[in-house]
Amino acid sequence: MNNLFKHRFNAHLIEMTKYLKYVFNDFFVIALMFIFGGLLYEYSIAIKNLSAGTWWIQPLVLIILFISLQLGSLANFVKKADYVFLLPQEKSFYNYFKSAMKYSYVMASIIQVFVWLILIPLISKTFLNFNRSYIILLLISLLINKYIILGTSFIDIYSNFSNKRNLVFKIIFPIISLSIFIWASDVLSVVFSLIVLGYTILAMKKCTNLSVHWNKVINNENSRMHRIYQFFNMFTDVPMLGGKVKRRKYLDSLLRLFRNDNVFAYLFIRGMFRDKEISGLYTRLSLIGSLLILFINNKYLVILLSMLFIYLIVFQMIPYYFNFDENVFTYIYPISNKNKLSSFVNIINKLMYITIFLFFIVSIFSNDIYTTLILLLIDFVELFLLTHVYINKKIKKAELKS
Amino acid sequence: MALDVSHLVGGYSQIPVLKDISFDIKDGELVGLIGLNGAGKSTTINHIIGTLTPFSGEIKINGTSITDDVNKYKNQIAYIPETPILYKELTLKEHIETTIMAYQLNENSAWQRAKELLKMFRLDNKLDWFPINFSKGMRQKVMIVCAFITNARLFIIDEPFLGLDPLAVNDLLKLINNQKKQGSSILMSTHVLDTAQRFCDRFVLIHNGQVRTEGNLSALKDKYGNENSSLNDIYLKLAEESNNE
Repeated sequence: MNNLFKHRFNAHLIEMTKYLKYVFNDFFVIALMFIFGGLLYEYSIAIKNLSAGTWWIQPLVLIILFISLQLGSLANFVKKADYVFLLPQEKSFYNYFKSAMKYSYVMASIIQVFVWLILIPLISKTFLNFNRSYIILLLISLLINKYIILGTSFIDIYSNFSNKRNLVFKIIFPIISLSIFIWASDVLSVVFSLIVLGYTILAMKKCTNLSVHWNKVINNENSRMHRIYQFFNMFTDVPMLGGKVKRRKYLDSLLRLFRNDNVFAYLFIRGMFRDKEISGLYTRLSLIGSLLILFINNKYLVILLSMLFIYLIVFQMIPYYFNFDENVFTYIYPISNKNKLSSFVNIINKLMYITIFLFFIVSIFSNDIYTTLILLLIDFVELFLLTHVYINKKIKKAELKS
Repeated sequence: MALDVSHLVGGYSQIPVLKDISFDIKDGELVGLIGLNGAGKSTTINHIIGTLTPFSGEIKINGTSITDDVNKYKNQIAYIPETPILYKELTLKEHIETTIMAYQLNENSAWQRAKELLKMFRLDNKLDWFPINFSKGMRQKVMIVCAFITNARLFIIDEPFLGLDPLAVNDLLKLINNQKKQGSSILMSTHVLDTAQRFCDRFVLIHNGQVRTEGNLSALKDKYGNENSSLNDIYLKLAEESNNE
C-alpha cells in the first residue's frame, strides 16, 4: 500500500514522457523557441517604456499572481477501481494522499517560481516599494498560498462542505493575502498567510479518521487527467479520451441542414454536434484561425494561415470516420458501407464552408478585398482537394491497416 | 427452418472455441442456449449475428447464409446483447429512428409500435435523453424496444433477465410469446434456469465448445433424470458429469 503511490507516479511519468515526445517534436520546439523568444523581446521592450508607479500595473500583477496560484491541482492518480478493490485499505489512503500532496506541491512550486522569475523585471521597474527582501518575501508568500490551496484540495477529499471552503481558501484568502502584500505591508501579508497555513495544516491532520469521498475524488481526478489528455490530443491520438457528449438541444434544428438519409450520415452529424472532443476541436481551431487572420495584416501570411487551419481541421477530423466502428450494431444492422464515405465527406464539406466563410468575413476587416477574394478561392480549392483526394486516400490506408 | 447451424467451427483467433456445433430452431420456437461461463454461448451468438466468421461450417437463417446475401441475412436478425450497447451521442428517440432507418421499417407503424413498447417499459417520457446515462435495467429496456420494433424473423437475446425488474421480465416474456405466435423464432442464452424451464420449447446445452445435449424438457428428463427433475437438476448433473470426464 505504501508503494502504491510510487507505482502510480512512475506509471504516470512513463505515460507523460510517451506523450511529451509527440508534443516536443522538432517542428514544435523550433516554433516554441521563436514564440518564446519573441514574447520575451516584446516584454523587455514593454517594460522599458513603463514608468514607475503606473496605476494599472499593480492590479495586473495581482491578477497574474492569482491566476498562477490556481495552476497545478492536486494530482492523486486515484483509479475508479480503487473504490472497490482497496475498500478495506481506506485508512492507509491518508498517507497515499499525503504523498500525492507532496508531489503536486513540488510541481506547482515550479510554476510559481517560473511566474515569479518572469515578474521580477516588471516589479523592479514599476513598484515603488521594491527591494530585495520584498521580492524574496513575494516568492515565500506565493509558496505558502499554493500550499494552502493544495491543502484545501486535500481536505476536500474528506469533507462534505467543499464549495464554501474552496471559495474562502482558494479564492478569497489568496486575494486578501496578495492585496495586503501589494498595497499594504509585505510582512503583514506573509504573517496572515502563515496563520491560514497553520489552520490548514491542522485541518489536514484532523482528516486521518474521516472517510474518503470516493465519488468526488475519482471524478476530480478523472477530469484532471481528461484535461491533460485533451492537451496531448492536439498533437497525437490519445486513446484514453472517452469523448464525452453533451445534449446541445439548441443545435437540433440545425441537424436538418445535413444529410440524414442513411444511418452513417445520421450518426456522423449528431456525433459531431454533441461529442465534446470533435466539436471542441472544430470550434477551437476555427476561432483561433479567425482571430489570427483578424489580427495579422500581412496578406501572404493570412492566406497561408487560413490554408494551414483548414488542413489542420480536416486532418484531425478524419479519425472520426471510424468513431462508430466499435459499436457492434454498426455491423449488425442490415446496412452497407456504401454511403459511409460520401456521407462523411458531405458533412466535412458543409462544416468547412462555415469555417471558410468565417475566415472570409474576418479577412475583410484585416485585409484588402483582393487578398480576401484570393483567400476565398484558394481555400475552396484546398478544401476540394482535401475532401476529394486526401480523405479518400487516408481512409483507404487506415482501412487496409486494420 | 428459421435458424440452421451446421458443423460450426469457430472462435476469435486461430484456436477454435467452438468445435463442430450443430443445432436448429424452427419457426415460432423459443430455444434456450445454456452452458457454463466460457462454454461458448457468446461465441456461438457472435457467429450467428455475423461479427465472427466461421472457420468452417455454415449458418443459415431461413435458407440464407451471410455469404449469400448479407443484407437479407441481417435484415432477419434482431439482437439484444448481454450488456446494453448504445450510441453515446444519440438520444432515445434517435436510437429508435436509427433502428427504423437501418431496417428500413415503415415509419408510422414502427413508431406506433415503439410508443406502445416505450409505454410498457415506462420510458415514454425519456425520449429526449441520452440512454447511455440510464441505469443498467433501463438501458436493457432500450435495447428491447429497439429489437422488438423490427420485423426480424430471428431474435437473439443474450442473458435478458439480469438487471430487469420483475415487471419488465414479465413484459419481455409476453413480447417473446407474441413474436412466437407470429412465427418468429428466438434464441435466448441465459443462466436463469427456472424461467428458461417455464418458457423455452427446447434447450441446447453447450459444454466446452460442443453441443452436450439438446431436446425439450421431457426428453431431457427421460435421458438424464426422472419426472421430478428440474432443468436446474439436470443441468447440474450434466455439468458434474462433464467435469469428471
